[in-house]
Amino acid sequence: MAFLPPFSPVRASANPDFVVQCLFMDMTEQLKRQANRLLILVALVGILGLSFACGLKTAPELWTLKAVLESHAGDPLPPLGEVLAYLEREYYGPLPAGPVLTHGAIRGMLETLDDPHAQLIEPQNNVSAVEIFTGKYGDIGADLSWQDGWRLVPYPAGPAAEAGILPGERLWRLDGQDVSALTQAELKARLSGPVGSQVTLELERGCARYTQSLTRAEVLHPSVLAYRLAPEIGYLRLTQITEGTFEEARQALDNWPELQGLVLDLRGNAGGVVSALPALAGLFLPEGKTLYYEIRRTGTRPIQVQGDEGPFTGKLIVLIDPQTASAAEILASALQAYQRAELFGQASAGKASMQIAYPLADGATIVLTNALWEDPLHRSVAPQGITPDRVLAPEPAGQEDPVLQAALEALPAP
Amino acid sequence: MRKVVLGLIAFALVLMLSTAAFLGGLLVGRNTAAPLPSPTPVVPGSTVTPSPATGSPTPTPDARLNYALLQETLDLINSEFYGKIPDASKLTYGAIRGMLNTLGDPYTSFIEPDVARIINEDASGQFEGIGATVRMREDGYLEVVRPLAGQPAEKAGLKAGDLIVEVDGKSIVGMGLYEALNLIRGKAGTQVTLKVLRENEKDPLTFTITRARIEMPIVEYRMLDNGIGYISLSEFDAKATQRVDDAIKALQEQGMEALIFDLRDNPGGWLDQALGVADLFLKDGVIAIERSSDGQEQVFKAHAGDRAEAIRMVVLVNGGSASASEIVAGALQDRGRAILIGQNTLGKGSVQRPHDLSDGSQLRVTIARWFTPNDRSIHGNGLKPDIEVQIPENTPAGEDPQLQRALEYLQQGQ
Repeated sequence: MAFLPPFSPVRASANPDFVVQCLFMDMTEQLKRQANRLLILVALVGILGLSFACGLKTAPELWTLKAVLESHAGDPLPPLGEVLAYLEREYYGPLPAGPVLTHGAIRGMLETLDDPHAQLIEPQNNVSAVEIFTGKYGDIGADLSWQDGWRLVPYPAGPAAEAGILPGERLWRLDGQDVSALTQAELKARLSGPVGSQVTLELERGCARYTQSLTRAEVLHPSVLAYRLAPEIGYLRLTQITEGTFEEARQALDNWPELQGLVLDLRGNAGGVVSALPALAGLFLPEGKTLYYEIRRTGTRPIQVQGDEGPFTGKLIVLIDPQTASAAEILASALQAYQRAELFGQASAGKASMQIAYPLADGATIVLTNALWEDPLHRSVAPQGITPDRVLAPEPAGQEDPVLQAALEALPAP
Repeated sequence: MRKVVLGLIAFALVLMLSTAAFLGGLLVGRNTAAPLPSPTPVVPGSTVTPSPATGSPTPTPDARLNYALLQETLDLINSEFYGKIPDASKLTYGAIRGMLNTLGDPYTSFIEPDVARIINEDASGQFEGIGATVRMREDGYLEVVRPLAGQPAEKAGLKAGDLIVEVDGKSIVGMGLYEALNLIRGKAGTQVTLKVLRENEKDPLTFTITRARIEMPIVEYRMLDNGIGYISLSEFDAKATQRVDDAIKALQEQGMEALIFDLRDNPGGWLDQALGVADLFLKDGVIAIERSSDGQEQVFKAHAGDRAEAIRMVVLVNGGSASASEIVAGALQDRGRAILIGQNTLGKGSVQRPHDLSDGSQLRVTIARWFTPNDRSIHGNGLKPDIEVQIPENTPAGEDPQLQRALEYLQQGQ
């Protein structure tokens, strides 16, 4: 028996019995086709609707993502910008101002360095740390001392001296604000500011209070204390090493042409500007000698003594203590290495690293260790410090200074 | 052939139309606002909300960070720094952490990719590993705190107090906890070889353990005397509600008439799980109120139909009960549903939302504060227990005066 395909129209017309059936089937087929069309239409609408819904559902996320991505274009530290974008959108509470966030990020970067000296210093009164290091900032030119309150001791030259302020005048107010609760560092920071800016002081002379306005100027902050211990014995105390130290020390030495011996006191000197050292060392060492070796990631190079006048050649004794650090140690170590001086006192701090102070555009300063140094004999001071030729412990406060005494005894008798 | 071509054309047409519909959806959805990437679980200790915020403002262009300064800092470090320059990612993570530090919110935090992977697993309630709780000791050794009963670590013979020193031949001493965990965990069915130091064993022991899928045992329950059931929950992971409900069911089948629910030292977890757990004990009404800083408020309510809505109960809390634990305890206390026995809770009333960042790290942003049904803020204050019970220092191991007091209360009604 042959299999008859039921939908064959030929067969259908040939067999009347099949006609009804086939008519019916035609109808079914039509219906089915219509149903199919309907189905396709429904499916199409369904697919389109679904696509639309998907789009609608994805939209917020996608647009957010786009916004987030756009908002941190130019971020040099991805995903830092993403983080900030999320904070801006939904953080509970106000966000700190831009500079605070930026400085926070910089501090965080510095903390990942294995460098105990790395830090970010905020500008004080618009004066950056670099300006303070180099002494190139505006100031009124006066020391501070405390006696029932803050008192001014004007430098020989500077705005305070020019205005006629006398040593010991009491400072009551600064720009209208009471200063009695400020620390010395805070008050110093408030007295300094950009060169040319104004500061108003309320002072007391005798029993009268008066107000004095001063224009801040770049003043030389003295870093050298110089006097004679005997007619032919000089004493130079370097409190820190600034760009002005060389000039101050040179002037003192020029004033003493008959000098036989000199005490160079570096006790308590925490260092300062390394670039001031070659000229300063030229007061005691011949030009061209290696002062120290600077070791950087890119290599080691010798830094040489500079000088054109010829050094002091008399007997030299250098005093050091545990606070003698960094640039002061470089100087002491070189003088010891060339046997140019005898070192008296206690072992120095032992700081063999050097830092760069890098001013940022917004006034903050990044401090970063950028080199190590070794003395002319390739000795490093870390961590033990320089061992003095004569170890001498200081007496308790208020007593005679036995270290200075020993130095005096070691110098040629007058 | 023609049919195939027609079919292809039709298919392409449908594809185009549905793409158009999808894009249409995207466009329309642009204004429905805002939007968040799908949330992911986070470590216990913070309450996270999986519910998207509604209608946050359009993101503002990121003008808060000074990218030029960050670039300058990077350049400075690269050109000047003496020492090992950290990986770019380490510097980036430092910057992100430094920026987040300026917010003064310890709960807005950044999690590095390695750590994010582990805590995502932990918060999901299951992971693939050896099934032991461990801790990183201060001396850099990874110590097994407890091998979980019936899990691979215990079956292989690992014991509490063992120190894991090597994983697959690699030393992990001094490694970060999460880095070590990433080595120990791995796909179920794979093997890991551990070298272990054990007290009184001269030589290190070696264990080869087949990893398995581990469910974290966050719920412990047992029947105490007089029909009093005890359930402790150690964190609100993604399955917390289900597991507490299972425990209630099991205890009710044993004839539980009253319940002690222990949330001591539970640092929190998912917000939706906190709501779910609180709902198990509440028929209706408010569980907690969440407020964002722009004043938007979301009130979370309980629904009837849970098996523990009428049972007499006490909740145990202490200073380690935080976040999600405080939501549950605060709701039950405010609604008069349970009294709290123990010590003052931690006081973490903020809600964080997690975001996965493009490099696999995770950011958790504090987006809101939550309040108890009586609109109490617990932020910083914590919840004060109705009956305060301290644990004296000389309490013998195995004694639990807080649990004891809870039993007394349920038995005597006071």
